[in-house]
Amino acid sequence: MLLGDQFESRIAAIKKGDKVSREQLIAEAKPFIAAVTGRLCGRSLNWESDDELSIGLIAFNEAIDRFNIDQGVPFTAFARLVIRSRVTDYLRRESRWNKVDLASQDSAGMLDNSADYAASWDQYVSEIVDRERKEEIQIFSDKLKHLGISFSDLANVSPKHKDTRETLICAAQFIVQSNFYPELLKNRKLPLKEIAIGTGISRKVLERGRKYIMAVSTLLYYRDEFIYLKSYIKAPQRGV
Amino acid sequence: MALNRGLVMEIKGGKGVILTRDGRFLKVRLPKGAEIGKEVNIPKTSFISYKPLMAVASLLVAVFAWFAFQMATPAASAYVALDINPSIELGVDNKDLVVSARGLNEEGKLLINSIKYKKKPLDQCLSEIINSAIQSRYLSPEKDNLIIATVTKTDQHSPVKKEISVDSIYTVIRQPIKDNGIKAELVVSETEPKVLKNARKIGTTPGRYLIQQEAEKKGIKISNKDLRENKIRELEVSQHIRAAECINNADPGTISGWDDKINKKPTFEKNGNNNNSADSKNKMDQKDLKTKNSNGFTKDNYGTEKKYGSDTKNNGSKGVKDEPIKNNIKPQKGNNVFINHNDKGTPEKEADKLKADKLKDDLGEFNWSVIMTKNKMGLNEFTESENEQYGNQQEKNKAQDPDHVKDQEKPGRKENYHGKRQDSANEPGYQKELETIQDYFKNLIKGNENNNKPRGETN
Repeated sequence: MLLGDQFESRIAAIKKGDKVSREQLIAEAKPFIAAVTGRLCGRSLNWESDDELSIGLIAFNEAIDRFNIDQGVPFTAFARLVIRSRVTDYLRRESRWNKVDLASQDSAGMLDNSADYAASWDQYVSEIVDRERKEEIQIFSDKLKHLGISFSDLANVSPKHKDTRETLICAAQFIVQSNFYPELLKNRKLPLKEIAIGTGISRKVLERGRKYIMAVSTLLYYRDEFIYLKSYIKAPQRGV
Repeated sequence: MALNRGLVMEIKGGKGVILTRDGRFLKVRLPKGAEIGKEVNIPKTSFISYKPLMAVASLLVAVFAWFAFQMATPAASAYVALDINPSIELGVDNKDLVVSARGLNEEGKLLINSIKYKKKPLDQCLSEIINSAIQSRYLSPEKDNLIIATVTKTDQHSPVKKEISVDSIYTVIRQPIKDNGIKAELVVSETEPKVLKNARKIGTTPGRYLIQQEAEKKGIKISNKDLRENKIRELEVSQHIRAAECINNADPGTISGWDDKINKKPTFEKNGNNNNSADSKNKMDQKDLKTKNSNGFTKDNYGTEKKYGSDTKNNGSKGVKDEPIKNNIKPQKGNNVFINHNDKGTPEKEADKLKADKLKDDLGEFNWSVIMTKNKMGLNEFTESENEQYGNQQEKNKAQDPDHVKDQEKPGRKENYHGKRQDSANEPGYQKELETIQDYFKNLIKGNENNNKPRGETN
């Protein structure tokens, strides 16, 4: 699931008819699609032999068309949602038990482009999104608890100034990229010295933003799990 | 209102933590129906971080306070400024209620702090201030008291009630002074808003400002600080000016006058039965005096109050306010010598008066020396009774010696030398000594009756 952050802007271009970009994006997204579908099916899949992956690929293409940036859902999350939905439908249709009835009707309904359908689809998306977000938050909360951090702690320490926040996010990125995170998880302590040397951020700032850095680095380290939450943490333009 | 969109991370009661799009964790008051995992729009004001709120709130309070002050100040439709020595400025709204009060010098601040003035009628407030000044001994019988009051109507359009007129303020201030038996020169004047504005610039009352202005016309400079803090009487002495005159020059409508105990006694000139030579001479002298007081400051020691300039200059004043004296006959120390002096009518009393006047006539020289001796000896207890004698004596002296005219103008100044007589007035020692003196005089009167009968009858 190696999807970058710049998806949203690329999709805007694709929607305007940039076919080359679309092909490019789908090609890049293949591992992501494989991962999502594979997890859903509970086994590793092969592009040559498994239909599920083709369904996933078509679903990803559909996701590009359907994606609406105003919904406030990260594209990764949206694409995953669409892929899962379509693959599940496919599996139902294929399964012996549900071969005949509702599944086919459902699928037929899905392809209908009426306003009714659009509304129910939106509702479906938002329900799923809410649920998935809630799950993410729960996981995040547990991970933070392990580090001895609560959300209200974060609210108290989270820096008010954008610059400070970006600095701390840089530090968190540094931790993840330099593989300090497992160490952090073990010690429940920030390797202040290393970060200070590696990023040039003063110790004082790091110490003050200690909890915020730990929380953000958690999100970044498990970025595949925190698709939604990670989208709230904007990486600053300057690199580390 | 700016909104912050954020993901609800945690809910505790009505509050919760959200993660905003710009990566901030915020404690906020959540809207209804918020669930973990849902995005909500939060108005900026529902942030639970109170620090910026407090800053804004305190700023608001400051701004409101400033506005309130601004609103309260112009709400006054007139300002009444008092100079006792404490200088006080009262703002009065159009219902004659005092809405603001400021002390314009140290003493004024002290004085105003001791008074609850808010929403009180002006006259009540004025009497309270005067009473308080008397209690604090800013005004006291042994001092040469001067009260200057100025009225400034800021709101020319609104009908200002009668109570804020020069006359009524004069009456209101006069009452407590009279009741406490204090002798004071009282000057009430109306000033232009411009004067008030200028006076405020240097932080004083219009009355003092006028004094400074008039003094400057004469080439006398008074520094602002001196003007604010010094007693006007001291200024008069050090700068050789007359405060009442200054203010009168600025506003011809000024009312001024003296209030003192002696006012309550009848004048000799009004006592038609006693046309002896000395009295008629007195009368003439008094007229003389008045004409001599060319500065327009007329004050006779015997109980007439006059508007400024009414006698000599008549510079646009509202006319003579020559009140006959009210004979409220509380037994007064001064009257004890001349029994029932104040009462006209019964032959017996008439006779007493005759005696008294004869005594004055005959013993003038003698009493003078007695008084002088007593003053030298510091036996100040007798000033009240002597004052009349003293004044009478002075009149005579002046008739002979025009140099005394000045003394006559300011009899109160003489009284300063008598010290703290008032305090000891109620002591038994004083009473006893008074009685001895009274006896002494009575004896003298008897002696006079016996020896000088023919003279008394010719008069």
